Amino acid sequence: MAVIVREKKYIDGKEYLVKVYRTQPGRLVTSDEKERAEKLDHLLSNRVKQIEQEFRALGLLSLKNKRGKVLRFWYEVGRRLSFVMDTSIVNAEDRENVWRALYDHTTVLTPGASAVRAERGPSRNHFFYCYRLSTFPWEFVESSGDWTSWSELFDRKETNNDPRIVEWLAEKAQEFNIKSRRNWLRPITKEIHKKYNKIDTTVRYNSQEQLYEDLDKMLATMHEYAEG
Amino acid sequence: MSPRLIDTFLENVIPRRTVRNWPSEIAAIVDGYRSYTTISHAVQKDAVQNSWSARMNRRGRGWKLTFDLVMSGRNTFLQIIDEGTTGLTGRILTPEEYGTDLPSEERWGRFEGVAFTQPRGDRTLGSRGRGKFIFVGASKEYTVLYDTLRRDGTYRLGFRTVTRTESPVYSRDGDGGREMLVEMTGGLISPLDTVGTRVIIVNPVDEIIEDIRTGRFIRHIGETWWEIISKHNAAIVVRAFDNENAVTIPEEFILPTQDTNGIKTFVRPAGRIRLGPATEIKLKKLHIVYNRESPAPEDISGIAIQRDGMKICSVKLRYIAREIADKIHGYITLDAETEEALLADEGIEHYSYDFRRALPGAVKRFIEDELLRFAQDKLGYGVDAREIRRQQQREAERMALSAINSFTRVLGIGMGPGVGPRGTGGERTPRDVRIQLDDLGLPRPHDLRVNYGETVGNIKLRIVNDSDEDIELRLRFFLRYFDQVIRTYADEDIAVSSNSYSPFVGPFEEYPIESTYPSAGKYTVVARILSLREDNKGIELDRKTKGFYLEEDPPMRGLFERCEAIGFPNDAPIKYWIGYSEIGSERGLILNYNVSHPTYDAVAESLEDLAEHILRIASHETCRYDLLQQNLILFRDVNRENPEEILKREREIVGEILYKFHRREI
Repeated sequence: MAVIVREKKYIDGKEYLVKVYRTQPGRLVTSDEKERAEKLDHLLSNRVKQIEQEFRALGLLSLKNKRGKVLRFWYEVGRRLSFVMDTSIVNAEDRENVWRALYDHTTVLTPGASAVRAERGPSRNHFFYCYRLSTFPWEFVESSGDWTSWSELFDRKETNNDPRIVEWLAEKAQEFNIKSRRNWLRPITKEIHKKYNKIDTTVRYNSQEQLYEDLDKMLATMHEYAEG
Repeated sequence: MSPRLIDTFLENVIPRRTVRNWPSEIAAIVDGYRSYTTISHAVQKDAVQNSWSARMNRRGRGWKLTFDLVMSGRNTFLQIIDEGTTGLTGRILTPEEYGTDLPSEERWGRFEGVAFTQPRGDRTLGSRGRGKFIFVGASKEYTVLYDTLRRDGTYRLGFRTVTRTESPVYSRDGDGGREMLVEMTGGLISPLDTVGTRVIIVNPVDEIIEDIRTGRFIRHIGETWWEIISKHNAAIVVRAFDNENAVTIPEEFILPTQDTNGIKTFVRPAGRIRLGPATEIKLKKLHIVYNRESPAPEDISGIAIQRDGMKICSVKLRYIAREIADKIHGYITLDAETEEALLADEGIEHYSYDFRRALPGAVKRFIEDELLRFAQDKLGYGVDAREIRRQQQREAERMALSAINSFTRVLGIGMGPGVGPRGTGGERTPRDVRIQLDDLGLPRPHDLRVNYGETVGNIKLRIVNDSDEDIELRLRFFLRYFDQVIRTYADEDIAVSSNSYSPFVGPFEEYPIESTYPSAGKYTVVARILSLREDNKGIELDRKTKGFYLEEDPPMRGLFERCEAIGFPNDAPIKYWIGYSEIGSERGLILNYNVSHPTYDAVAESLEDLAEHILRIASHETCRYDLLQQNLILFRDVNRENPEEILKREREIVGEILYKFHRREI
């Protein structure tokens, strides 16, 4: 299916903002496709407006520019964007384009200059990060680190290459004594990067237990360091 | 032909003859057939076609064709003997006589000439004058003998062979001809003594002999000619290896008309069918059969389009699960008028139609629609309409871009994306520890396209260790489609001693079918090796990939790399633009088409119309691109400062591209 994204194009030497009907490679946009894309565009616009209205009503918009509160803001954005993962609304193959298209419908729910961020690749999409964040329990998210720490975690190729690392995090979310530890996410992301940067953890650690054991050790060392 | 400029000059000079490389010509003809079928299939098809066309009466009473394989220690001959035909009538013509239209009775002259076809009114099955050369190509010596005995008792022997620059023919009448035949064949073959014609392929290629031996040859005849055998009791016999077998129709073509437990049928009887505002066909019969218990053999799977009793090609429903599509077969017959209209769009080898043309395209869509309805109504198959649409969309864009890129590539315009003929090149400095991944065994050499039902073989590798240390590593060897792993060939630990090789891993084979291969597109065989040594465990030591393209052509070198649909702003003059191109990221152009323009609305419901619309935009953009270059190619002989000349030339170019697209020349 085609997804409408808005792009600046130079046509005949002049800049225009145009609707581009993005499809999977090699597919033409027929009238049916165009109509469906326009309906989806309308749906995205409405959903985003509803989220903005709800945020206003709940007073959540004020969190966006408050130091220490912005994490909650992005977490709530992610929760409300989970419809993108619902295949009855968005085809799986269109998700990447839909994450990109969301930038066209809001400036309120983006962190800054939309145009620049919109051009980042699909794996570094801000809305996708918000969604990934919202898949963890809030208490765990909050205690683990700030928005910068979480963004860094999602940016890293090590975590993207081996989904077991994020699964380990999710497991920690269940068993962790949350109150006793705070802001450990960034140091461990750095440690993971330092240790796993050039290796394929899916090979080095055949079993999940081996990987988790290594990650646990990493976490324990950091904890000792922090406490000592 | 009306007088031409050169004709008056030709009278006063002795021009030289164009030298032709005849072996290459024959090889090209054989290749043309091979792109659809085997040589033995083509030989039987052309042989029966030539003879059935010359039958004495419409129902073929008294007609018979015999394939007779005669083998001696030194030579082998395949005789193709017919009875109940007119024989090769007519005179031996002089070159001057070929300058005029040949009357239908000059069959001998037409058989000896090249590309002198039958008058349209007399045309029957053949019509392109090409088939006889498949007999030459089927001979290891590029030689065929032919003789005929006519009703007036006249006998004539002829032969055709091929030398480096000639394809000489020779003939001799009467007893001289008879003696010559006996002498040439070492007495193995006697002159014809019944009225008819015979073609003798001298030392046929092994493929034919093997197909006759295994019975495949008989099967080919039955599969191609089941209709005349069934309707007219056409007698076709194959004699070889001390056996004589009359060809019967394949049992699968005894089509049931009633549903039973495992069999579902559909028959659409004769009638006029409107396929579009200006297209109507007269259907004689459409018969579809689904056999739940067993897939139809590959050669008869799908719906055969018949012409004059001969199967031309099949149409399969491509967008439903393979396990269902494979179990459907049947045929469609059309009235003589529709067949005649279709003939104009038939491939010269008689194995294809140009489905981009209006009538064949409409017939194909009709068959596909009927198949889909059959699958839904009788088989309860819930076809995913979205998937069908997606597949069709891919094909439409490819159709338009292939045409324009093919046109520009021939002229040397634009580099565009894709891999060159020499491939991607190898490693500059080989690693000490590396993967040697063999080239894939593809159905057609140098063609990365693979279709459903074809095999990709030779998926194998070995690990080379040129270092002085023994190594242990993890091999990951798999097939992926984008980020989805389709199959894992190996995920195992391997030890390779210093300065040695590992044993081969593989060969594996892929047999793509629709149920396991989700989509058309690029599939990649990936091999990775990762160190298992404690100090660097998990580090990637090497990675190699090989790709193939399922059910689509690989990206082509060409001017345009892709299309993009854009809704142009509603500002003059931009809103009047139908489209334009811009530089893409892969050395080619991106063609942007305006989906807010009314011309788009007029074509956007039909993918075929949309493809042509895009091709039209691409044609204009190609002209613009050329005009922006320092060294012009399309506008080479045009004064760049003269707008009228430019416009006139652009009109020619756009017309030429669209003409060639519709004629399937690009």
